[in-house]
Order: sequence, then structure tokens, then C-alpha cells
Amino acid sequence: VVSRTCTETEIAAAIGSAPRPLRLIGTDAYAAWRTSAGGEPFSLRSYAGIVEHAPADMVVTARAGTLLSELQEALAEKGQCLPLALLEGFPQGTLGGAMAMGLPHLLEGAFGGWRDWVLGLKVVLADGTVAKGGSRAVKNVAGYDVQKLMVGSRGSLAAILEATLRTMPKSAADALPESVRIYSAGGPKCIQRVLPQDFEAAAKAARPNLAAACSATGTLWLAGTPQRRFASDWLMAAEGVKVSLAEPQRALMCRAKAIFDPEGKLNPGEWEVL
Amino acid sequence: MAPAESAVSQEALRRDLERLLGPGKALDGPSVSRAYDCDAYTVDRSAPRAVVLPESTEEVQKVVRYCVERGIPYTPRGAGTGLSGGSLPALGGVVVSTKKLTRILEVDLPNRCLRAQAGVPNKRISDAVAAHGLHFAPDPSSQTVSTLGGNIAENSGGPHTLKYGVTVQHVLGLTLVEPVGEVWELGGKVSGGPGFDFVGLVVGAEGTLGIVTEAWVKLTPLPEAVQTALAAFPNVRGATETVAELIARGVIPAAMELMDRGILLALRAAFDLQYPDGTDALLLIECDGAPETVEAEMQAVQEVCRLKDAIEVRLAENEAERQKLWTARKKGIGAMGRLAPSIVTHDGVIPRSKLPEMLEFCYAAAQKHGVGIANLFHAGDGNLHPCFYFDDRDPGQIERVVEAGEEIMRKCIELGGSLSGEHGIGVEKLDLMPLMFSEDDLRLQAMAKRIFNEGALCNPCKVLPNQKGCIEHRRRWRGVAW
Repeated sequence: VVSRTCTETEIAAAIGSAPRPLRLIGTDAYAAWRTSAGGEPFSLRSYAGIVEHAPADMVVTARAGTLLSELQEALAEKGQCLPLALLEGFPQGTLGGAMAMGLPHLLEGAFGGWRDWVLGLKVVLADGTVAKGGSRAVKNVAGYDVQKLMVGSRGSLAAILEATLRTMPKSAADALPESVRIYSAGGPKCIQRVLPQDFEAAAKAARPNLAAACSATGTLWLAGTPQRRFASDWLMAAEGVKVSLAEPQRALMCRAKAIFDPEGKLNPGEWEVL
Repeated sequence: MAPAESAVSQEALRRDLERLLGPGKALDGPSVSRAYDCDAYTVDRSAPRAVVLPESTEEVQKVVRYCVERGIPYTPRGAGTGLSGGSLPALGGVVVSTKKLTRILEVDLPNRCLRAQAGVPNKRISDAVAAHGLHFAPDPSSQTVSTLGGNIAENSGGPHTLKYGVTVQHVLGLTLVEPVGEVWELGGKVSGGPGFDFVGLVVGAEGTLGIVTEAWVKLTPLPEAVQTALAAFPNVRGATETVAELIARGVIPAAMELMDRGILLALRAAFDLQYPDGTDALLLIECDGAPETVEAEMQAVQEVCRLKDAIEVRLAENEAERQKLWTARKKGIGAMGRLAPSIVTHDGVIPRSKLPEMLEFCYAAAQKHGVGIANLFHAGDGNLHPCFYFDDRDPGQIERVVEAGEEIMRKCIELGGSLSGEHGIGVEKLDLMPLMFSEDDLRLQAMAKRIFNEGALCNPCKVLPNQKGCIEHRRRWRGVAW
């Protein structure tokens, strides 16, 4: 059942009182990149819209269900953007989905990623509590940085409701930097990041499967399984490619899950261990 | 259950710590207790029972395990330049100083990263790689002494964070002695790995999630070109409006620092900083990067400064002149000592378009409470440092300074800003946290803390209000005769 609830209170109540595990989605654009095991689909897509864009502060607040494309259009009207560029065939979807996944993108070397842009976040916890972290200021060290913890946590700790982000002048996303090369191996299924010293060797090894590569961040977007692994590298993967988490990362993630979502209500099975 | 702390006699504590670490690495006694009873936030004090000076991760681990077994609180400390009491040993116990953790362990030039122990001063990292055209980008004003570990704990900023980001953006991996004494490696040499961002949580946690003993940090290429300008304005509004206008135009210099009339005289006297007659505020603006970008940005800067009625925009003509301007800025707070016996520097953040309004509010608050105020701050980030000067021998003045400071903090929150941009909550702002966060917001933060720290021994009584057994400092000092 896809939820049609569209107020903060309704979403919080629905999550808090859900009798069975939920599979949080926006447009379900990232289905192939997740390992969620079952759960009743619960969409936040209808919780959409820009709450506030303050161009003079270069800050925007938007709801999780807002389509990335809509958000970029609205920012462009004021000459701004999120400095985000995605490969063709890469999931677009909603703001909440993109932040929950926190996957690398093509402009990261020059402008950073979601963890660098997020200034404030509002979430619904598994018990239905609405809580927020951060602020609208571009610099903030008040309290624990829960907003960074949520980016890339795939909705397994809480559901993202609303985010406040830095924006950039629109020109930032006009062109790809020289460090990015696009190949045409098809839609990416796996992302590999390596040390700068290994980048050329990794790109060469991956060549038939290479969809794109960025030398500034050492990132490779692959249309299949990586041919070679390197010291200190990591993988993020779509279906069919197994990613294992190192210790103590895995143990700490399980501990976090037990604290935030003791009943395992939110997105059970992410990374296969949560 | 661990025995109560008092169960370990002072003599046994000293003997045990010395046995764990070897002679000369465990200190106690009245002079030690006094020297370590606060950091640069001197309003609140609490004496430790002992101070240890470990030289390795293993030695830190030994001390933490010992403290945990005996129920003794412990608090990490770097150079002690923190401004919110982050290294104050709030419940006494043991201070774990990183003074001897001063080795740079590995410089990896091809991968532009470096591994260092927590006690290495910030500036030494940049100095170590300067010959290779690299630097460690976070540059807090305390950088000649403040340590990597302290910068990580506070997620330190500095003037150039406007362009380069704060400490968290430059830390790749950590070695953490977690609160019960396990040693964990978090993150690594390659950024952004899969799963939850625990490095991002530990950086800025004010040393409450364990003791960081080593870290991999990113090295950033030094800019090809740098231009630094000093713009003089007849009133502070012209300067704040210049900042707001540049940001609104999408021009983000490397740094934009504002100095107001309260501090100009001190800067002229201390550093021979020259500015035209009739100046009421100065903006120090630096642009860096590729030469053509710097040229274009500096032109925009000069255009906006003139539009906002600058009396003069002067470019530093050489590196010596540039360094002189930065010395005046970075050591400026020290020069405040010329104005009054005591100073208190605050730290608040507001959305940048609200700068003109906020600064006027600061002046009004100072006037209302009859205290002197000067401002010297990171205008480009909207990060204010209102600095009150007063005489701390007069209890009435202290009270008024505290009240004026609280009013300014409330205004920052009201404008959508934050209680702290870079100094941290520590003990200083504990009881202001509810101004910014609801009970549920604070519960969310407490959950994040519990992932690492479920006990009450590792740097207790910081960041989150109402911790068991802690007396919040305002309540504490209100009961103390000044």
C-alpha cells in the first residue's frame, strides 16, 4: 500500500503506529541499489514542495518528497542550484531518497556531496517522534551532527521529512569538470572508489564496464562487477554485487540500528545486516 | 558495578597511573590541579585528581580501561585553547592530555593525505607539507598551538572555512579509544565509504564519544594565486551589506573577516594596522585559486565595496603585507587586553543576509547593559564573535555581560541561526541548548551519543543538558562568590 498521507503529523502517526515493518520510498528510484528485505512500501513522495528558498543566504529548505528535478528548476529560477550531476541512467527520484542513499555524484570533487550540503534535517523516528538536527546557518557545531549520520543511512535509522541545504550559483553545475570522463557502458550498477595512486589502474582494469570515472575523487561508475580491488578501496553496489562491511563499521551500524529502531520497523535488511 | 571513585585513594591513583605509563607521565598535586582546572573558557573551573601524558594509542587505552574499571571520570585535553569548557574535567577524575602525542606518523604525498597523532598542533601539519605545495585547510586563529585532536573534537573552523569547509570535511579516518577502552579505526584513506557516517559524528562531538588518538587528514593544494584586500567603511552597515551582497551575487571569497570600531584602535596600537580617518569598520577579504578567477573575484569585491560606500579598498602588495593583515586578524582578540582587564568572546551564527540587522542588535544589547563590545568575526559564514570587555572584579559587570550574551544568543536562534559556529557547546552553552532544540531534538542527539557512549565517565557533563550527576555551570557559578 502506498501511503497518500501528506502532513507531517499524519506521516509521523502512520510510521509510529505501523504494525508491520515499512519499506520507505519516494519514487522507488533506488530499488536496485538497496538490499531492503520486504516491508510494506511507504511512500513519502506526496510530502513534497519547497518550504523556503532564501537566495541571499544561499540556503533552501524542501520536503523529502520533492523531485530533484523540481527542486533544481525552482532553484534555477533564482540563478542557483544544488551542484549535483548524475549519470544518465542513474536514479533521479526525490530529495529524501537521494539524501538517504547519499551516493557519489559527478561534481563531488569540486562541490562536495549531500553530507557537505546538509545544514539541517527533520526526521520521523521509528516511534513516530518528529525531531530535527542542525539549523539554517551555514556553519553550526551546536550538538551532535545527527544530520550527517542520516545522509547515506538508507532510511534505516529514521525517515527524512525535510532538509535544509546549501545552494550554489547555477553556473556550478553548468559543465562537468575536466576530472570527469563519461564512457558508454550502460547504466551503472556499482560504484568503486580507490586511492588517487590506483585510479588509472582501476579505470584501465574496469574499461569494458566503465560508465564514468572521476579522477578528482577516485570514483568509478561500473556497468558490472569490478574486475580488480585495491588497497583501501570501497564499493557501493546495485543488485548482484556483494558489498561487505568492515569491522567495527558493521558492529557500530547494528548498535545504532538497535538504538534508533529496536523493533526493526524501518527498511529491514539494509546492507543485509540491519 | 564499578566501585565509587572515592574508593581509590589519591596515593593509589598516582601510583597506579605511573605504573601503567611509566615515570613522569602521571602528574598530581595542587599546582597540577590548578593548571588543568579549565581551558580558555575560564568562567567555570573544576580540578582534576590527576593528569596523564600518554605517548601512544595503547597508553591512552590503558588509562581509559583503568578509569572504567574503577569508575573514575576522565576528560581528554589538547592545548587547552577551547572556548566552551570542552576539556574542563567537570567531575574531576583524570585529564588525558595529548601533549606527548606529537608525532606525524605518515605523509602520503601521492594520495594527498597525512596521518598524525592527536597532539600535533594544526599549523605543524601545514608546515610539514608546505614545501610540496600542500596544506591542512582548517585554520582556527589558535592554529599555532591548538591541536589536531582538539580541532577534531570541536570541528574547528577558521577564516578560510568559508571556501574550504570546516575540519570534518578534511578528516578521512580516525583512531578512537572508545569510552570503555576498545580501539576502533573509523573511516580510512578513501573518503565516503559505505554505511553510516561515524567519522562525521565523532568529529565535532567535543571529545564525548571517546578519545581520538590519531587521524588521517586530507591535504589540499595551496592556491596558485592569492589576493588580499582591506576595505575601510565609514559605518559598519556598509561592511555587513557588502558581505550580504557578495554572497547574494554568488561570489564566495576564500575568507571575509569583519572588524568593527570596537577593535580598530587596539589593532592599530598592537599591530600598526593602518586605515583612513573616519573608518568605522574594516573588511579583510581574501580571494584565492587560479589567477584569472582571483582577478575576476577581486574585481567583483572592489565593485561591491564601492557600491556600499567604502572609503578605501587597499590590496596587499606582497606576501609580507598580506601576512601582516592576517596577524592583526588572528591575534586581534589578544589585542583586546589593551582595552579592559577581562574579555568574553561569544560565538553565534545567523543566516548571512541578517548580518546588518544582527550587528545592530549586538550594539544595542551592549549599550543596554552598559558593557563594551567589539566585533572581529567570520562575516562570510555569518559567524559572529561579539567580544565584551569589562572588569571582572566587579560582580555587577559580570552579570550584565552574561545577560547581554544570552540576549545575543536568543536573537541568533530567532533569526534561524545557531548557538555555536565553531567554539562548541561544552559546559558554557548547555543550558541554552533548549533554546535551539526541543526535547525530542535533544533525545535524537542523545540516541546518537549512545551509539558510542552509554556510560557517564568519558568527558561527562558536556553538550547535552541534564546529565545525571552534573551541575550546569551557570547554576554552579551563580552560587560562587566572584
